[in-house]
Amino acid sequence: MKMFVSAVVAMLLIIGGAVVVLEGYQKTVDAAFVGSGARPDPEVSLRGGKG
Amino acid sequence: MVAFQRSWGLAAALAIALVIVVSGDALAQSGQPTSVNPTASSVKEGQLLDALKPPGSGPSAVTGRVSIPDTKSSVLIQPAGRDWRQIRQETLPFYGAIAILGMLAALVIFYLIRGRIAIDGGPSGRTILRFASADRFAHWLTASTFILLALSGLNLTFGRKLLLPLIGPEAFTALSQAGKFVHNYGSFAFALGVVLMILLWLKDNIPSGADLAWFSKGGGLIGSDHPPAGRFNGGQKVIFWVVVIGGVALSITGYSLMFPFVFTDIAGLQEANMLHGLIAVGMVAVILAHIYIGSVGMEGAFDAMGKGEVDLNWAKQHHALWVEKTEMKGKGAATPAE
Repeated sequence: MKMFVSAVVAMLLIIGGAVVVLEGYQKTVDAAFVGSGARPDPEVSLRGGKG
Repeated sequence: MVAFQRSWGLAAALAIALVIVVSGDALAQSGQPTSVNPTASSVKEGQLLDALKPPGSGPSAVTGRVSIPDTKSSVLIQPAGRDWRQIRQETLPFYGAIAILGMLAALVIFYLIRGRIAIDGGPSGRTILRFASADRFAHWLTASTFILLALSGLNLTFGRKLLLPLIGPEAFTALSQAGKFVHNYGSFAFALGVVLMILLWLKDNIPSGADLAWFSKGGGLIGSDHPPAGRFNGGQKVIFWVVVIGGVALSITGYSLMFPFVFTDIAGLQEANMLHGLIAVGMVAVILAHIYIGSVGMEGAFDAMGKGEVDLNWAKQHHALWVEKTEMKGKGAATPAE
């Protein structure tokens, strides 16, 4: 049953790799989508603060 | 005076009666219904949808107009979505249940009639290498992920009716969310397993004349005669092609659903979803039979994928042509069992 255990370990590694790659892809897509990336402007003066 | 009034009243009554008769006759002659049907002139839903479609837009959708970049949001009504929902909620669970429960019932009946298929003459005590490490790795990678994908997929089809009433909404939500996660990310391991199986076993799964002879004798499952077979018999070749063709189809439809609107539009996504579900429940039914015959259904069969080595008598009984060929090559020569 060594090969069964090896296959399960490989499956978990592949799932982990897919999570890293696809979650990163999802973040990139979300950031690129018009209207979804509304975040406070990093320039404080443009937010009305004292810069 | 009284006589005059009587004759005037009589004349008036006759006139009213005449008007009623004439008007009734006129209505009957014009074919107008005498009772009112409130739905007779109402607009049917299909007609309304047809009328609302923009000219030349085809049957896809009723759309409005939007100014944001995502033009898909202009869709108001997509009539085909109703057919998809009907198949998704009614047809697929119905035929899926028939396929899976039918296969389980057939296997129980087969076991009660045929019992466990024993090794003729019992184990010889000598073994022969049936599957190398790479073969077993590919098998277990595909098998373990298929079980996870099947369970998480069946939850999408049957979970709301079967599990939700049992475990409640909170637990069902958590389980379904975890199931979706496993289904999406586990699919890559399954696809890799199918590719490995194609690379390793394709050449031994090309249909041949021996398969026809194998099928004509019921593959040894019916009766006691075991037709000779090569490395894979006719039944195993059917399983192989079901897994390969089904696996590729599931991967194509599944990835088009995982990346919506990247490969196809909404109609394509609905078709992919329907195909994905139908192929998947069919594969689950077939794989149930494969699991049965590879475990409780046949003595010595599990060793092929468990240890990689099988008893020589088992191999001669079920794969006589393969044993002959292997012994001629001097590969995987029989060794005493440990």
